[in-house]
Amino acid sequence: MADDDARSPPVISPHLAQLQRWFQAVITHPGGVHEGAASAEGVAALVAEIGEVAEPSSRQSAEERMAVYAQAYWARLLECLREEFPIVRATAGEEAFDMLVVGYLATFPSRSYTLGRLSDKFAKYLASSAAESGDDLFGPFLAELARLEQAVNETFDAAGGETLGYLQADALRQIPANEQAALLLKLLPTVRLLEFDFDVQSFYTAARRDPQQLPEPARQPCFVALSRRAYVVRRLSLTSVQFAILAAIQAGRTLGEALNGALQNFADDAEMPDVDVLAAWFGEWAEAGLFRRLGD
Amino acid sequence: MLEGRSVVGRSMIENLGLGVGLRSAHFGYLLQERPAVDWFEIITENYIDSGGRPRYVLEQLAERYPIVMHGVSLSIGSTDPLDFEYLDKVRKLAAVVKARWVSDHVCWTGVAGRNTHDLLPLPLNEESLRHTADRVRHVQDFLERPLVLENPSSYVTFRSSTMTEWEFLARLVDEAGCRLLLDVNNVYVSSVNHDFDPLEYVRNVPHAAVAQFHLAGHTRTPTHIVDTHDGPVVDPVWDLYREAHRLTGGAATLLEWDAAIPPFPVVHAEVLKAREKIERAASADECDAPSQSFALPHPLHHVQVEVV
Repeated sequence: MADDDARSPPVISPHLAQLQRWFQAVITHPGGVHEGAASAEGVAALVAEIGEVAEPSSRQSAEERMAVYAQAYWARLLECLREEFPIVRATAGEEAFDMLVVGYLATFPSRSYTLGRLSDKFAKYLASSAAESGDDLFGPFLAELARLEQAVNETFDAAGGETLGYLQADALRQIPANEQAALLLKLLPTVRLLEFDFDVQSFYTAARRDPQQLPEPARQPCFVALSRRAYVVRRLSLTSVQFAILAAIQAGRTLGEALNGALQNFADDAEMPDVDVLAAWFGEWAEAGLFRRLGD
Repeated sequence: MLEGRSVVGRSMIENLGLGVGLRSAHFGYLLQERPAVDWFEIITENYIDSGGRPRYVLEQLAERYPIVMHGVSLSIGSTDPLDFEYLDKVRKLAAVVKARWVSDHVCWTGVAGRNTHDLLPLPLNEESLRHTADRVRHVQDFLERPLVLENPSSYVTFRSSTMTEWEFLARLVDEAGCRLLLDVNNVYVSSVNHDFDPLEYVRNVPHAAVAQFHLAGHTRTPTHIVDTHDGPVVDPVWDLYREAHRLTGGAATLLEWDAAIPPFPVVHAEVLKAREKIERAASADECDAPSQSFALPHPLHHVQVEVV
């Protein structure tokens, strides 16, 4: 409760820069406002009791009032990351997910004007945390799941074929055979090519269907392309050959170079596609919105 | 103090009528139904980097409705340098959507390169005033338009403050030539949290500088009020709005609804109440009961992803 005037602490009038650094240290400390004020960051800005800087109200002490900001800081950012990573959250469990987020934000606080960048390093943080703790199964799996969910978020908001123009499957089929090898296809900025050690694609699908019935993480190489049509994100499962072809195209190789590279790398693969299969793949990828309109 | 004034003049800002904050939950309805709404206010940061559906919807709506850009990350009171990369994006989007004006808050959001994504309070003293006014002038010159600044709700005050918030705003307007977005819900929230008379606040802000009003719901706890934007406007806030409308002669008015968002017609109907509220006699009673559950203060701006 509020102090009365007779017990008011001495007034400290820090410069604005000092006060702001102190305030930020107090309200963003994971241990609460008292630990924030006593933290190295807090003390480096200002050596003061909270009540020497902030005022009480008729119903709250200065500390309680600062705690309103502290609680809001963590609650706001937690809510944001919970919404961005619903499958990681369901997989880790509420409490464990929140602990991971608090650890992440304490290590990598937001440095952007937009909450859209808040999770930029989350997947890498999960991977490095798992490596440090010696966890070689669940932690790395969560990190890969986070990488998939982050990529979905990026694809959702990137500039895409709706405005830049899609390469339609029909247009692709009409390219003369003698021009195909030198063709430079461009993937749209919405496209993400992802390679995983775990089958996160199947897990993601199952988790979206029923978050209460999650399958066991399966260590199995997994290749995924994300694209977008009509502003809805699509997930395509790829084989290693398909992934290699699309990755080469993304790297700026011609169609001929991309296919030759895949043929060399997968010469012993019994499933190496023939021309008709390749044509079907490219038609499917064009329908899925992977390629940018030719000539742009 | 003419010497330090911004080159941006004090041109009039039009009264756009009764608007609604654009939220992604209503995208589908708005594109399909094209309701008769006077104008929309967007959260600037949700659109300046978007190449996806949010940006598409915005550009569709901008062809049909007046748009106002309302930011939450300008951090005009911060002692960190101004972020001109951010401001350049603001300027470009304002040109694309023909924004009627650009607003943000009298606050700071972080220092040392960090962003807390909260609207943090300033100590209300000469140093803060000088600092903020100087930055407002820089921003206005960069954007080549007056900045409209909102009074945020707050939950703590400082021992180093030497003036009231309404005095601070009046002097900021005078020294920087900016305009005010008077959020009457925030006045009410802060008045309860800081034990002052909200009518005194409304009666003492510079009325000629008020370009816009905000209305919103809030959550009352046993010890303070949280600006949650999660419900209808309560009668004491309507009473303040009526008085502010009388004193200013009226200004563009917008309803914010950011949590537990109902269907668009419900949100729109809430702001349309403003027409009858400014005619009605003052109400007698507070009508929001204390909540024991945790209340998250605005702002939280996040767009739901669509994925298959």
